[in-house]
Amino acid sequence: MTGMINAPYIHTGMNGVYLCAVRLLSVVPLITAAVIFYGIRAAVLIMFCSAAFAASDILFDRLRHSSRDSILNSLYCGALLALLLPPDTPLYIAFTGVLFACGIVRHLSGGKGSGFLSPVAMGRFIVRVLFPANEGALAMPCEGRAYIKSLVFGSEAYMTVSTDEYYTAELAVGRFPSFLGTSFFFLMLAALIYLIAKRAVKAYIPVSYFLMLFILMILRHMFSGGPDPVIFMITSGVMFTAAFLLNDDETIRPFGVPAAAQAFLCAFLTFALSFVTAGIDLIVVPVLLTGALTGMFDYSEAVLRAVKEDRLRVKP
Amino acid sequence: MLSREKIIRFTFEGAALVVFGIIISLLAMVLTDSSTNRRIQNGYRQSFGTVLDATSYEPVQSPLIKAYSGVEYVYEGLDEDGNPVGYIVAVSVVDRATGLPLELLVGVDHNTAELTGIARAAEDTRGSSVTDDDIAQIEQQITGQQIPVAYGISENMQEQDITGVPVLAGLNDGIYYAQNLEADRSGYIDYVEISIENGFITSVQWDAFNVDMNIKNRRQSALDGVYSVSGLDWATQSYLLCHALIDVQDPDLLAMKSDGTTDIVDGVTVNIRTFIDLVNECIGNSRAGFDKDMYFAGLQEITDSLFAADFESLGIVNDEGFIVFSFEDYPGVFVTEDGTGVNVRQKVTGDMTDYTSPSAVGLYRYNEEGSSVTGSEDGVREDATSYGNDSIDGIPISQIKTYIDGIDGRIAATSDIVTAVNTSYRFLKDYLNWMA
Repeated sequence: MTGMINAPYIHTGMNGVYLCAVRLLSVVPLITAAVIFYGIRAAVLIMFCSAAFAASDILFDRLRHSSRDSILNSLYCGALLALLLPPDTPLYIAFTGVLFACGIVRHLSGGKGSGFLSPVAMGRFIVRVLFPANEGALAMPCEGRAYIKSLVFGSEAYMTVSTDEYYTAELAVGRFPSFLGTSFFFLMLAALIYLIAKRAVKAYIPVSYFLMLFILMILRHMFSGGPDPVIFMITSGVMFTAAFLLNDDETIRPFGVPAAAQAFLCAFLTFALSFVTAGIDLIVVPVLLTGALTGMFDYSEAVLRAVKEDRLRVKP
Repeated sequence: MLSREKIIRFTFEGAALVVFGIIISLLAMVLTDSSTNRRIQNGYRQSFGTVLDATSYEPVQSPLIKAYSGVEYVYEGLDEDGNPVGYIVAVSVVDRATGLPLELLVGVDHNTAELTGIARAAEDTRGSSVTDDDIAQIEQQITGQQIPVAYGISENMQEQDITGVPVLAGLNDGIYYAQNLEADRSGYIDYVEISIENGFITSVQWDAFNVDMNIKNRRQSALDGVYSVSGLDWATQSYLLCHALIDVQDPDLLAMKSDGTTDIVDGVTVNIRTFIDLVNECIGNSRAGFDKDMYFAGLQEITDSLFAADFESLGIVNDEGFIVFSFEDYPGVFVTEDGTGVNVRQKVTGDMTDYTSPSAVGLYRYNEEGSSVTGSEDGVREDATSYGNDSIDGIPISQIKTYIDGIDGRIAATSDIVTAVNTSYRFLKDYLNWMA
């Protein structure tokens, strides 16, 4: 990659472990809500993903003989990946996602901060590609909290969900079948506020993304009768993107393409994808495409700069 | 690394965030409970309203559901006060035409066990050959009728399709009756009533009233537990025996042994000699055209002449209109001058023709495969058929409450839908401990 800056905390004056701890704490309310709504299987899935992510990170760091980063970051990434999974996801599928996210995306690209694809988003996307049926392993919230067979056997009945069937109040509080942590709009908003208050993230990145997407959805609704923009913003999980994925210090870098521009690009991509797809695609694909496009832009810019410097050097 | 102070601060923050998450989640659930319930009930009403009209629906949680092959899920319909009005049983059966699953919703009334409706379940998306029109036709035939159900035994089907069923010749249509002329040791006077339609015995009733009019009929006494016999209760045995006769159409084929019992009707252990004698008398009455009304009129005439008074003033008619009188103290009434015993018909009409031996007169209308079923007085049957084992969808014939025509030319579809209805009956019978 073109740059090896281990992220914004260098500019905040806070150490990396502190920021990892803050980020991990920011998802605690989401984890709590997921466990209350979906029961034991949610708790097991989140703990398993976090532990597996941490174990994989340690293992691959040793294999690469590189210095190990804080385990809090691994736990945070594992928890984020789990929160993006359907509640009835079996553990082996979750483990596959963790392995891809940590082993292949993060460590094969040079370790933390060296790649341009978000490990969490990529790990979740791989799960979606390898196990498409698992996208229907959704469950009704507040039902079957003691049900744990899905952790081994998966869902008993795969389902598709139309938010049209639910009252607005239910949609607002996340009482509809969704992924473990993407339906709790107000808790995600609270997490974002917490992160901003703790100066762990820059406010303009999520705000730019969210506002731009909201404006685009309003325009779409006005001119082509698309989905209700408010309901879309609440239920589609884009708040998860705004609060967590777009604040990934591994892929959104404070150099090259401005971070706000990256947020706008991500909003446009989300808007474009909303015409053709929904679900997890809307949450992770724009982030991955943004990372890839800005990564390539940074690389081209660096090459051009290097060439220019070489030319200057040859001159007497 | 984090300093000790920061670790402590983060620990408290983490705990506060957990509490925050719990409060928000619980608040969210409390605030949306009514909306969720309303939405769920609307969904149920949309799915189940066509098969069972109820104010609300609740899922039935029972280990029996998993135990019953074909029963997918069960909901209970409740009225405004929360009392059960019926059940919706989602049943999956195999479409006999295609081998694909057919999933139906069957609605059954709680109090009457009557079918309230049938509909295709939302889960039925595999494209079975059973059409909505098939379901509607069967629904029309069964709705309001008690389950379980059998098809193809109706009048028309008998005329068209049934072969190999022995039918007694010479029977006149109508209702025929015969009763014992003397009470048994318990004071009961047995009677049998049979209905004949198109030459078929379509209904048989065997019961007994008591000379003590304060005592209920034997059937009711048996159900109340007052009258007991070995084996099944007398009412059930009577029921099984009557239905066995409807199946075979000929009392000889019930294979009564010399001790008065039979081995071929499962569950029947009582002495059936009285029953056979009375059935034969009814058959004789039918052949002679001596129906129930004539029998009663004849018996009245006999008692009137015996006491030189109007029989009603004698106080020998019970609430159900039966003439409750035992002639044991008048042995000469039913004996001719040459000492031959006679029955009511013979006494009244003076016609001494022997109509009562079915085998002597019997011609089997449908017996294409030859005389495949015959009985003997030793209780031996050549084909060893056990009528108690005859069943439809695992339900003894004797328990079938409703017979329908089915759909013309759609035997497989009819059978599939009837199987779904009967599967729901079997489940509910066990779940609710319904009496057969």
